[in-house]
Amino acid sequence: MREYEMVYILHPQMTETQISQLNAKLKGLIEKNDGRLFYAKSMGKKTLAYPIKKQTKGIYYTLDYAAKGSCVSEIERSLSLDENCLRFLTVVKADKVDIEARAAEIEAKGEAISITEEKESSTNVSDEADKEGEEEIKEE
Amino acid sequence: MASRISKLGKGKKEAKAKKVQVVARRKACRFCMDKKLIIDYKDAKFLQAFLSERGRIMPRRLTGNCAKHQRKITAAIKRARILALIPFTSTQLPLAL
Repeated sequence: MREYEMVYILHPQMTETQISQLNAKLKGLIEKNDGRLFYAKSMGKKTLAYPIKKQTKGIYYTLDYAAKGSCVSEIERSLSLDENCLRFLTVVKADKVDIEARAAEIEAKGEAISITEEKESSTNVSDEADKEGEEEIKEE
Repeated sequence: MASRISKLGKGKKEAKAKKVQVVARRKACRFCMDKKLIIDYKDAKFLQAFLSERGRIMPRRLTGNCAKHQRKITAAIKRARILALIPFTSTQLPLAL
């Protein structure tokens, strides 16, 4: 088991529900392969230094997880098949990980908040928020 | 003739003296001095300090890094380029949409 860090860039026009679906899918892949997701963070919407797939902006996400090599190739495969993923990069963070110790360390740092979990529970809320936004526009 | 030779000799000596001065002013590596500094490929602003105006990697002689940390900076810059955080070249401008 190694610890990997992965950054992926998503299409700027992806909706929040789409993004949370994708994140949940990645989380599921990691857990299916006996891996452990330490955290998933959003780095926000950024302007790309050069256009990728004709897009000038992208939504950046970082994943930190421990898994086997075969799991990494599976995740990369699913991302490369996804048309909404502009680019991804996986980096080995540590060759050997003590999963429990690392999880505790990350929790102590306060980075343990997993976006996928949060988004899953709050999807309904965000949907409602979207609807509210639409209504406001209609009213205007 | 004699005066010319002596002039040439003087010039050489001055050049040598200058070289010695430059070597003596070698900067210390900032990452060796401050162990808390972490080289992170996701930190584009930080890596920008090691790029020229055209987006090329600055040489060790200008940044003052030691060999070990220059290697790490180089690797980080290359990763950041793949992620479009910093440009490969300054001519790669974003599309005007």
